[in-house]
Amino acid sequence: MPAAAIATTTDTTALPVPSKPASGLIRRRVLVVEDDRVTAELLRYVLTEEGWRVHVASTGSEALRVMRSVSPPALVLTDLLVPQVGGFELVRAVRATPGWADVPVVLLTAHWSRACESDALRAGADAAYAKPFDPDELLAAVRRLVEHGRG
Amino acid sequence: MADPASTALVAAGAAIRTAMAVGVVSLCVALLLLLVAAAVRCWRARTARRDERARRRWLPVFLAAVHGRGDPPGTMPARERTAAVEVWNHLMSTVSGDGGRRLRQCGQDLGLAGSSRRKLARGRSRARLGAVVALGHLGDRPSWDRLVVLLDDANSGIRIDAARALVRIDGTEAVGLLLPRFLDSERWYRSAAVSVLGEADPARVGPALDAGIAAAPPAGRRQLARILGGLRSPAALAGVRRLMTEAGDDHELLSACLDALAGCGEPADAAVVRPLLDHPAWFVRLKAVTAIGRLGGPEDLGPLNRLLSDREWWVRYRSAQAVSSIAGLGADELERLRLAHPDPFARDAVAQVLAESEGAAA
Repeated sequence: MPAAAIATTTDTTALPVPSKPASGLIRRRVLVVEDDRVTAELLRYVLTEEGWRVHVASTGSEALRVMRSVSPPALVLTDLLVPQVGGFELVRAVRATPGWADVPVVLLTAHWSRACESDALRAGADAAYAKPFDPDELLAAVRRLVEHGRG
Repeated sequence: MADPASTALVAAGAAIRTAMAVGVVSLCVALLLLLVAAAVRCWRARTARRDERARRRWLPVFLAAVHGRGDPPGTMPARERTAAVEVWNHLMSTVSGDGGRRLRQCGQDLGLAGSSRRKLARGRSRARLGAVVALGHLGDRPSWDRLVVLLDDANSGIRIDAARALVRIDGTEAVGLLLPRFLDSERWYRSAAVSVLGEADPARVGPALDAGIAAAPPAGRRQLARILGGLRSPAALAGVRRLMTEAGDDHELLSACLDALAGCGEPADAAVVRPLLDHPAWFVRLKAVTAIGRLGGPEDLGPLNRLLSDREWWVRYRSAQAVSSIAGLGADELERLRLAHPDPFARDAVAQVLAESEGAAA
């Protein structure tokens, strides 16, 4: 994935473009922070299929750059172990930045434990999911957090 | 009698010819090596391009399958299979639920089970590795015996992936096969054993773990306790409790069991930990304090306060952490505790924990 890989720059030539949003939601933007190419494409695909606009960043610092240069997304979906700025640090940065505090953050991790989940929630994440994850469950959480907000 | 000058000239000529021959041979060898290097480079670039094409072709097919969209996948050309199987394996490790089931069905429809069995028998190492992982994801029971053989493969990557595949095919039976092997800590690192057992469904493998522990020789129990400690799963709890009761004077086994209890124990387990707070071996006291910090309650604050003055720094430090954790003390309360304690060593331990909590808050 190239640097500053937001939706407009992500190579999508190999992927089927969904014909229309699957839901009645107005298309809103989700920022996916994931350095693994296959997982990033999976998240981009399932979210796009459900009518979300997706920006993909491959590092935590790139995600912060995208959030500063574009407008804050409706939701941030980040892997715990992303390069440069890790998932926990990214959550704390989002929570500490004026204007971003209400942006829901969902963490994904391959190294899930109860301690990890409680650390994620303490850092300010709104939900944490273990890999492998159920895309339907993840989509439901994204929808719920964006529609009803944090808390 | 030969003229010494002409003899020297002849000798010099022979030396020059030899040197030239050596030079020509060296040049030829260097050119040959260059050619081989260039050929290997070309071959690798070609393989990389072919793999990239395969990934670009099959990733959308697999993503559509996860989402329940798209046409039936058709057939997969043999030259694309290794890279495509790697992508499929990767997605299978990332997706669960209905999406995972649909992706598995897509793999079945593409005939990955049959092709993976063939690769397992006579593929190159990369293809074999992919085949082992794929057969696990497919739950391919006919490959069971072949995968069991691979548990003793010379390649540690193949061994670990074969173990993981067996756990995916039948967790209960696999645990029975794997535990005796995991006792060999030279061949199976603890982290590898923990990661393999972590794939198993905790609800189903608990009894198999317990039976494996019962059958393990006394010498292997420390290693098993360390593995169960790393697992941090409720499935390990019954086994850990059993090992704890059998530990006796084996301080290392006690220490490993306490470590495991700290990870997967329940508050009721604090009762067996409390007597060990006064154990003569400092590393057992250390693990007991850590476990009480996770499992204990307000009734443990008295003994922990006493252990703030233990003769070992690590015990004092973990006691301060445990007091802070059980009492849910904030920075101000920790500071009050530090100032009130008569022992300067205890104050030092509390100050360390206080500095860490302030550092984390900053």
